[in-house]
Amino acid sequence: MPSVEDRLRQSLQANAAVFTPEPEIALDAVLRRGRADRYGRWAVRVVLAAALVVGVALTGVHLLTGRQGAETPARQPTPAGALGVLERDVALEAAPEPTAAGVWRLDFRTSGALVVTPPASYGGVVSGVTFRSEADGIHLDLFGQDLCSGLGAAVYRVDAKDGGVSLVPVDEPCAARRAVLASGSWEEKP
Amino acid sequence: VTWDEERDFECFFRARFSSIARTVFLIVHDAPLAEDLASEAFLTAYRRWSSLEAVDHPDAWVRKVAVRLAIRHHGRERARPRLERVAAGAPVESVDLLPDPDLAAALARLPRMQHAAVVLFYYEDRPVAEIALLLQVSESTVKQHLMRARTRLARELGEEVPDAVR
Repeated sequence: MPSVEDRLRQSLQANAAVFTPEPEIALDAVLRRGRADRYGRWAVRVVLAAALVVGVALTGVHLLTGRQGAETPARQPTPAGALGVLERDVALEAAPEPTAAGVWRLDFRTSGALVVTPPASYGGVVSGVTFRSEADGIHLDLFGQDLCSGLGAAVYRVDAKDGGVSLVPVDEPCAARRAVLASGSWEEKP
Repeated sequence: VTWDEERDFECFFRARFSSIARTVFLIVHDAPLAEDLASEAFLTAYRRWSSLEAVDHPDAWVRKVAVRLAIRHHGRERARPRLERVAAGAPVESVDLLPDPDLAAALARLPRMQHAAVVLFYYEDRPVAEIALLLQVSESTVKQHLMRARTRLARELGEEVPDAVR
């Protein structure tokens, strides 16, 4: 009977000989991955260095503007709650859609609710609108459920001039809302 | 890795890849997987080639990494249910294509460290001390692995175990 050792030596050699690796293909793949890793590490270092530079620069700007801010009074939040009721007639050519042409009434309540009364022809959703006053202006979500659905809230600055009130868009992702709010001046109502 | 170092690595790879991949193949019994695991070991070497080149035997280092990857894979695969391996496309019955499928199947049933010790001892013809370094165990543990593996293989294959083994 042959020994298990003899069989191991012979059969392992025979079994291994069946397998013929492809060194050139494997080498190509290893070098590609190795170089990609290396370039990736360089890219990460470059990005980190750039982020560091930007961070230092922003910190410097922040410190600088902080000092300037100490010399000039900070801008006060727009007192939207004190706006009361605004009204304007949106012209047909300025309206985002024909049914939106007509008289719009905005009632800024101190509770943070914005009660909107649209023209009788407008069939969209204007209920449940809210607003809040921040340093950069009034944040409001008018038309968030229909004309501006999915576009996010807007920020408007309030300018009082010529006996009326203008809502100036600071950050407005929705053209329809801009057309209603900022295409003309509003009249303050008691 | 500089241009010259990469050329050195390429020479080293061409000289050693097939040998290391065959050793891995005898542990995992799957040709594409053996190439993948051997490649992974060489990739690890490539990433630290600048320091590894100064080592006396970089091939021993890569062989160690490759064998340990194979052992780890072998253990993971054995822990997976057979049907799961079939569903994942693993070549469960690939040993049937080998010249001595009975031996390959009997080896595959051994505990993974015994299997690796047998391959390194009988195929690569390495001394026990070197196998101990490769497997990161003591020499006496390697001898135990070999003795138990021989006994079990002899029983399963119907071979005899000589009294005096080295």
